[in-house]
Amino acid sequence: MQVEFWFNGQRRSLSVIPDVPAQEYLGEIHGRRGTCGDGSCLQCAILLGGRVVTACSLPAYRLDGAEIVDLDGMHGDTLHHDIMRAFDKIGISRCRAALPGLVFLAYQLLSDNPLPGDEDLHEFSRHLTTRCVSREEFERAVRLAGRVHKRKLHEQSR
Amino acid sequence: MSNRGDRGKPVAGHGPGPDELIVPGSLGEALQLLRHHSDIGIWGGGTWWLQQSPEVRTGRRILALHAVRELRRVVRTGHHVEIGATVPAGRLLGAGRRFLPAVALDAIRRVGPPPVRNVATLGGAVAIPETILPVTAALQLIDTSVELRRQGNSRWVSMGQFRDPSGTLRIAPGEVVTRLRIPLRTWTHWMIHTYGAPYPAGRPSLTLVGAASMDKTGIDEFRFALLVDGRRQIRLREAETDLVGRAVPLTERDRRTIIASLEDNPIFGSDLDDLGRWRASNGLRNFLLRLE
Repeated sequence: MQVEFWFNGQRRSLSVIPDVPAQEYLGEIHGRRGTCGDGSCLQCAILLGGRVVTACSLPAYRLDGAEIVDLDGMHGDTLHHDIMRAFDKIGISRCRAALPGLVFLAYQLLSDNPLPGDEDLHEFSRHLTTRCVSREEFERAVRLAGRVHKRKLHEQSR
Repeated sequence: MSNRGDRGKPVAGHGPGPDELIVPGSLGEALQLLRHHSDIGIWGGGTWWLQQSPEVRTGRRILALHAVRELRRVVRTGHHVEIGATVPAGRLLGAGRRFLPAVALDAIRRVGPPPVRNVATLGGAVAIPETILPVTAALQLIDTSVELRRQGNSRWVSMGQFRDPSGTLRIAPGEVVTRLRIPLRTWTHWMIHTYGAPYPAGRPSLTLVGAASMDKTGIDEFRFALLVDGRRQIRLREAETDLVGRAVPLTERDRRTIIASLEDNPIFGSDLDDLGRWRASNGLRNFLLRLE
């Protein structure tokens, strides 16, 4: 079937097999090909309509009409900028493979609530399977990014 | 009806895909299609099906319900909450935090990690034909019912009656799960433990689910269920009834009686290994010890 979608703000059209993971097609576009296949390694994480999903657990037909953003499409977004700075500071940016998932998990958490509670953080961090970052480091980075972002929003509103 | 599917081009490592993918825009369109093609495969979020082998999916017609607006509503009344079958589990966790019972929220978290929950649906999770997921066992325990609709007809069935004792779905041809109704009652004590991997279907796994509510005099309600390998369930209905009205903390004799009723179940003896039996007995014992 033919699907049309927005990828990083650009209109794309692809011929896909509907029940094949979207990663089969998106991997060729953004260059991240190898994944676990069950959504746990977070390598193929993308934003679908503002929510983090893993392309390996997304059927290709769901791309039709969707707005997809990967890490490259996040440049210029202030929340993404604050997350990356916090990740740099805590040392998470070294996780090249799982970085998309870590960034987008943080992005969704902080979009919903700039100062997420411990329960929210644990709920997201408990599923991390990457060995290059601990759950505590991830939570610390998200808290830091949230504080910085909220302060920026506060200053902008004054 | 917007029929946007067609036969896709083969991709290396995959079969030729489904014969046809149909994405209806309304429930009426979906029911009309199901009336004439009751053998069609129905997908909610599609996350479960991607884990299955391509052979399972190939050569079928698929009805994808994610775009049906009627199935994406959440309605709350004083006594229960009705959840559309294709509401993503992740959205439920966010919106339902203030009113869904804690045991239901914990069950919904078991659907998968956040990226999967943003796509997976509760209707899809309870209606998977091959297996019973931990979330299903937990929702069944707290008296969730499902609405089954076909053209010109709808009915509500409790999740206990939604599958026969062998785990097979009791859905008539042309029927589809459209809503889930979760009673809004307070469970003062609850637990969900999952051992092993419930995905994909048939792998060794064990899920223990317990829920209880207390009043001034003692136990007002008690439920406990065991799900083995996503196929066989144990409920301790007699023991559950016996416990109602008992003062807490329970006596050692009471605890032993209930654990014995679990250990006497034929599934407990035949389908669990030593470790599984120990986990089940110990899980129930710890839950009973928490009741106070």
